[in-house]
Amino acid sequence: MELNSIVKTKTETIIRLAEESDTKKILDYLEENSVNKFTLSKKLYINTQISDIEHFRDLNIRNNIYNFYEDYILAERNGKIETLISLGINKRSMSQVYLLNLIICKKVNREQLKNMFQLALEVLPEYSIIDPTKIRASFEEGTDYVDLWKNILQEVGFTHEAKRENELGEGKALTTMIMKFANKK
Amino acid sequence: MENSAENHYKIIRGPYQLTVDITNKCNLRCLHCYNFSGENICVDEEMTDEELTRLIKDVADMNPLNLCFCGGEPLLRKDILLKLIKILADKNIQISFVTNGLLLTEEVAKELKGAGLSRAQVSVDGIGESHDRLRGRKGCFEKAVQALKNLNDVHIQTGVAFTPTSWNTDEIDQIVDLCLEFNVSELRIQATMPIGRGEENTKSILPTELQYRKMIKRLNARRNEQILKDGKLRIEWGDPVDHFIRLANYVDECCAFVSIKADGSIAPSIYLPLTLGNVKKHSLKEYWEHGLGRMWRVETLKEVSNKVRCIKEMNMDEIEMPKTFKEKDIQIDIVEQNIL
Repeated sequence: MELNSIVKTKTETIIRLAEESDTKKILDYLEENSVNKFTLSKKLYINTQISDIEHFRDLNIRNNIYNFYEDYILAERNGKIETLISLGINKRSMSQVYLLNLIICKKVNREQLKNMFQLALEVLPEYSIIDPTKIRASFEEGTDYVDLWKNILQEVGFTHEAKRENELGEGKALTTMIMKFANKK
Repeated sequence: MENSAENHYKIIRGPYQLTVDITNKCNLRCLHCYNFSGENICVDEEMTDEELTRLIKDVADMNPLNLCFCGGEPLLRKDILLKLIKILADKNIQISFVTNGLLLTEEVAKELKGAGLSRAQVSVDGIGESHDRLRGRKGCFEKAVQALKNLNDVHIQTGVAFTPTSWNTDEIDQIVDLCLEFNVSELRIQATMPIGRGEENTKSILPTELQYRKMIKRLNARRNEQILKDGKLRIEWGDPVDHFIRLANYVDECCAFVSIKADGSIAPSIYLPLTLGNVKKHSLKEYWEHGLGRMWRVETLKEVSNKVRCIKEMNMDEIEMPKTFKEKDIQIDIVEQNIL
């Protein structure tokens, strides 16, 4: 591992930015924790705006990692992933915002999540292929576990950004929360 | 009941795209060379002029869209190369070739143009000494640039292949500028593979994660700039692993891309240590008629392919497979074993 930003927490968990050589490990972890529904659950946050079921298929995951369109932050113990966060960029826009696409935890550990986002804030300004300004999480209001995940993200440092009425049609509102990179307004 | 893909296969006469290693002999020993050109396992078993001619006549009858002569350095077999280009050009098949440019003089460029070459890809792996360091010889950069000029002068479409190394990733802007200067139509860059001599020199040549990322950031900026300007220079960030993941898992009805190694063996992917026959034994047409287009149905091929999920694994160390171009491939013959 060449990254110099590895964080070792008190529990000997290693937190790091994944590389292309982690593809198989990430695929295996996603398969174990099957992302087959686009709904939140106790241990899974998924970007409500991802509508393409192919996004988390093996080819697309590899393609996004290889092209640096999606960055994965891993928390590992004894070489096994405990928690995974994926942050994607919109490759078809000028946006400099990372979209929080996925969080999968074996067990929700808020301190660990905080450390993982901290690593993202520290490392990505140098490692990213964009000049990131913030990380944005999106929620469809009124669905299960929204309040739980809003609460978790608030604890790790996210703040409310906006609520967009009827953004998703049929009266469904979209709420976004953000975490800012340092020195970005 | 047969599905439509199977029906379509019956009316496709052959692969639409091929690569043929006309030789693995080489006048350089580049530090990153993925197939140990000049000293690999195929180099003493190369197809003769007659065998190559028979293959290319076969290919011409199949009427593919494009054939690329690879190497080694193809110009080390210039006479037969020109003859083969002519056979394909007479059938209006697009012909490209890859070269290090050392032998591509003004005169040779004219000969290639006269034979009917459509496109040439010249390797340029840095500016000046940076390029020469990877090539292992001084003066190679000037010759590569001269080759681009000579090709441009005779209006052969050109591409540039760039291999990122630990010392050249911050030269990407100059490489793009060089491409623009010589009307290059495609700049192709892909991650450096730890195979062949690239494996032996991994420590010294592989860029770091950060170097890759910074290079891609610049590359994306330059690509967007080119698209907005006139789009004449296409910039590609290629992935050497993607094709066999895709083919092994999603395309088993008809794959119309085939590689022929210098020894005549037929490779589904030039990066995998598995071959499906040899055109010295049976004609390419015969292999096609025996289901070559359905090659990705072969279970052993799927197994081999599915073991490699990232570039690091291409060196076959962790997955206990033969080392491509260094050790004997897993050999299957789809005609003799009649397995498709």
